[in-house]
Amino acid sequence: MQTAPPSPAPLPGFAAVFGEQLSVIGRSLRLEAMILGAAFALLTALTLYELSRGSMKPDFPLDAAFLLATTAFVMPYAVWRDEKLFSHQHFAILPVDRRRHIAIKTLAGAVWLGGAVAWIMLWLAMIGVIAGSDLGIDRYLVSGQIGPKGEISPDQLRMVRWAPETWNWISAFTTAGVFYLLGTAFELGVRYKLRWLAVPLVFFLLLAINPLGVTQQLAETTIELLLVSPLGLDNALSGGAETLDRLVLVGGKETTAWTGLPSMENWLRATTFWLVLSGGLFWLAASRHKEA
Amino acid sequence: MHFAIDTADARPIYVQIMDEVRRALVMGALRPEDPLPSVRQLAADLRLNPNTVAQAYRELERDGIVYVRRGQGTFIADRATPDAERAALIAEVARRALVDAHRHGLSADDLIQAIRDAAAADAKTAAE
Amino acid sequence: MTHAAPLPHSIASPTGDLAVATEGLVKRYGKDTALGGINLAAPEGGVYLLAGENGAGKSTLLRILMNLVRPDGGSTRVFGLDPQRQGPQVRAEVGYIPETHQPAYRWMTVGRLLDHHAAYYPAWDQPHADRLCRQLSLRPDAKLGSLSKGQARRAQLVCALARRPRLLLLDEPTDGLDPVARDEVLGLLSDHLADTGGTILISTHLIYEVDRLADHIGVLRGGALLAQLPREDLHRRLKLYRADGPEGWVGPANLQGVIKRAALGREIRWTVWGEEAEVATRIADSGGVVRDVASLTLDDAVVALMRAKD
Repeated sequence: MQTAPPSPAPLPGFAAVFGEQLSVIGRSLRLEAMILGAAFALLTALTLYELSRGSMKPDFPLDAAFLLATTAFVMPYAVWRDEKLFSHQHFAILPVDRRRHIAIKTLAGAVWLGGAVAWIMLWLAMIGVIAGSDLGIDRYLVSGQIGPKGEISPDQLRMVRWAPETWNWISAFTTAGVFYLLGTAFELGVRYKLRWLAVPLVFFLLLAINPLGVTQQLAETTIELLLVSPLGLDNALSGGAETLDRLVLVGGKETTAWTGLPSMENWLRATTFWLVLSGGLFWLAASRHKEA
Repeated sequence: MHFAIDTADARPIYVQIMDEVRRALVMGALRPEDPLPSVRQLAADLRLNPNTVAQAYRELERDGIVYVRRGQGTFIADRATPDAERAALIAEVARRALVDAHRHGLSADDLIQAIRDAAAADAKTAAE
Repeated sequence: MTHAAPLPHSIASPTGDLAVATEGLVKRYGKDTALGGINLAAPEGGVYLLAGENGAGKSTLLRILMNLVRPDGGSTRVFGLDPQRQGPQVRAEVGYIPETHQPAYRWMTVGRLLDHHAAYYPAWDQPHADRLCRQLSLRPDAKLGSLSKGQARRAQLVCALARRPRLLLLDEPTDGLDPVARDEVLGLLSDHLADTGGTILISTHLIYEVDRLADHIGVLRGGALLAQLPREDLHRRLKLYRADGPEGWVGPANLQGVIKRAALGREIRWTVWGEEAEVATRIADSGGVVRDVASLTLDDAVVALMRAKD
């Protein structure tokens, strides 16, 4: 019937696949977006109300980083819930290399996440403009030695004003990025996710039993490493803001004070580490589905 | 155009199609210069593989019963007369009857007598 | 029948290129051998029916061709391409409709699903897709999650057929459909064949459905390809012979290719693989009278092959 061999069927280009995934993810997350949007609208209304009464001084929410991280970690579940990757359904049938396809879809999801973060940053900036504030914080800074119960002398304290720098604004994106990649790695790499609930259960069980006090020690060390070490999450998220907080006693009265200022160097070092780690874990998880 | 195709038949499907065309010719349903349905149309209507229909049309063309007009389709040939086909058809019907008789252990003479009796009984019923 | 059966295990002389060719294809699931060294050959432009019992490994074979499953041994070629190494290229040439008809995105409308495929397949023909939708009474604004089984299957068909793939892989295409829908599917496939001259590989246990379309048959049993041949050959050479003879007649002594033998009183019936003239002569020579030589429907033929004792 045919004399010449037919030309091979064309493959879709990156732009077509990326664009399509952008559209699919956007549409499939519509419900979640609407819920978050409603929550945000409420927050905006409350904030504006408080501002108008003059009873609020908006500041850069350094401790909201945890909330952002959690949301970014959970987002991949919504992104991938229709795909059933492990049973090789529709997604794997399409004419794109599976691992590359996963990477493109992950990127498309990241674009939506980045957009959401940008939107939130803009909102924050707007609030600052409306309130006529630089979103800074007036805080006590403690210098010198602190006693075992937190006692210090009054001359160790001084008031400082800290205003968010460029890196603080950028940290929202990197925080979201790191946890999005970690969440995606979990989503892609772990087939029987419910089994992993056993991990924290076992952990808490061991803590309760606490053989030889070793578990307690181990837990403390792990948490220390994970959160407050130079490469820990606290540094990655906010340049160490959490750990800097201390409750101190001045002449019998309790005050919160910072033992130092959130530092860009700490942040940069820790964030780079976590970006590389989460990126590596993502690639490993994606490779679980690779073709050749 | 509906052709009766039976996949349980001893004849391959393409032969059945050819026989149906012949039958239509004998019955006068198809006349010289009449168009046959396109390969695609007939195949889709009968839920057949187009290759099968194409094969039937090729064989019919070889036998001189149809011819192909370029770009227009397949048509019954001028010299495809009902008479010529009738002879072939009768022979085929008789052969099938004989095979059937043989299957039931009857001889050709048994069959001929039985046909005569049956035809007479038919005529009698029609007259009443 | 001896184990060195006269049943052909490969197409004698495939005229032209093979759309699908496997060599020694092996796939095991634990102790179960789904495919134990399959040499499948599906010629281009034909309709290849892959028959076999449920769970016989037919679906696995199709999934290997799409690189959804990794084989344990052997090689596969689709239009000369290796699905394991050139998966995307193979999948671009193939329209695959799996056994399940569950749509991936329940929130998508039919129209949106078509756009989705259009993005992934540059060879997509939108006017053709629209035409197919109209033919199959699919409304573009219907949500996939609200479609019935038959409608979901039709949507899958449109997605596969609209880009006129060189190879269609169908896994139980009519299973679970009502008779009207089944009929439509077969008509569409016939249309597709006439349109594109493409190849179709159908895996099904509902043989009578595709009886009129198939021109090559492969019978899978116990992980092995029992027989593989053009349908015409099967039709011509597998026949049911009925003969009777004098008292005490038992038929010819060494009749080759007997798949089944049954006696009803003094009439003996053989299902034999062989040339009709030869077999009939042998039966007659042994003292019997051949009453009838009947063809088998494809369904009966496959069942006979599958029930044949080794």
